[in-house]
Amino acid sequence: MELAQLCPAAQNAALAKSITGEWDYPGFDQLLKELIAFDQTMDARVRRNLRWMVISIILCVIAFITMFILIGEDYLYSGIAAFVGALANMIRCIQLWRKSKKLALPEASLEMVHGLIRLLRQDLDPKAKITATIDLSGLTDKKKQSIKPMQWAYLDPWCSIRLKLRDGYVALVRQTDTFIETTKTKKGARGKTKSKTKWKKQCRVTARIIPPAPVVWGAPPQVDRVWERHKMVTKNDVSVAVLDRWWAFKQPTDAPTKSPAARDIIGMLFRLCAMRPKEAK
Amino acid sequence: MTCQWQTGLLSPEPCGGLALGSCGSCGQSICMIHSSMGPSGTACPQCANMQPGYEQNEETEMAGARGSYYQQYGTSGYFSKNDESSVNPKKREKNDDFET
Ligand SMILES: [Zn+2]
Ligand SMILES: [Zn+2]
Repeated sequence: MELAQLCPAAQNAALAKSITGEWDYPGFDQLLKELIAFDQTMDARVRRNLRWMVISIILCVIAFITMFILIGEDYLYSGIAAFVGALANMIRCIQLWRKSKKLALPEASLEMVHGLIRLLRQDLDPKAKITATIDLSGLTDKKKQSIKPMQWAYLDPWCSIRLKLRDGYVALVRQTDTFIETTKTKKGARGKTKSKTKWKKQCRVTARIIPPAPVVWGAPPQVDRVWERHKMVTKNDVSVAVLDRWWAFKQPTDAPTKSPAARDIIGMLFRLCAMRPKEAK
Repeated sequence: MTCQWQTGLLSPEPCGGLALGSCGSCGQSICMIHSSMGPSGTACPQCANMQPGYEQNEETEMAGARGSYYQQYGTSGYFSKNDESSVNPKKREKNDDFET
């Protein structure tokens, strides 16, 4: 799907790289479907443009070498012209690749949100709206901060979704990703410096279930002792059930794109919902 | 007769639509939306999800996902044993006095 084919709301979200506001289920579902389709087109374009960029760089190098071979020959001017052409082509290919990369969206994030609302669609209060604040801009310089020399952190609290369930309870899901970028430089035998970048990504999802009125909660949920923490917090005299879960991903060279699956996040909500008193039914 | 199929995942509620038949495997009354056709006749979304040869749709997908949460996180508290048997017909067969 091209940008022009998207509905106005999806166009705005794709360009602003953010989704905000209140949505009814069909509108939100459609928005996410369109953004996922748009991102697939963009990903294919990024791959294609990358291929052309590599070819253009090779052509440019060949033209450059040929130009040198032709020094002192009659065809030197043709060689220079060929090199200039190849150089211009290379610059254009790099620009196109960068442009397509800029338009691509984080697909794992979109798929998580879409999976979440799709499986919970029947639980939603039909009269209530889905409130979402979703930042799709990923790793930007604004989110970057230096921790120590050659190490940077990116803090990305990209997702906040509020769903009102049909039994009056409210489910809140928040996700914050933290990226750590570490660059190590080594001096080789011939004095050449080599640098290696490593990435770590930590995702934290906080799920909350807020009752419509003060309730007596049931037994605490089953939790994974390593990756999960459960607690109760009191807000406006109402006790809220909270479950936190962490995930860790590692990757060399590029920032990890993996993200928690909707399945696991719904599992967190499911366990919190199991704490509701029976009479709520 | 109304459709007994429990809709939803976090806050299950019976569908309540007009039942036009019953599931050939677990016997609950089901409406048009919640029936799938397959080798053993009409089935509810849960039974259609568990048996081969049934066409899968959004309802069977939902039933499969819900069944896996009941399986993984047990059936304590709000999601009681009764609920589990309503979403997990195999268990119901085991608990059914008429069958044994
Ligand atoms: Zn059945
Ligand atoms: Zn039904």
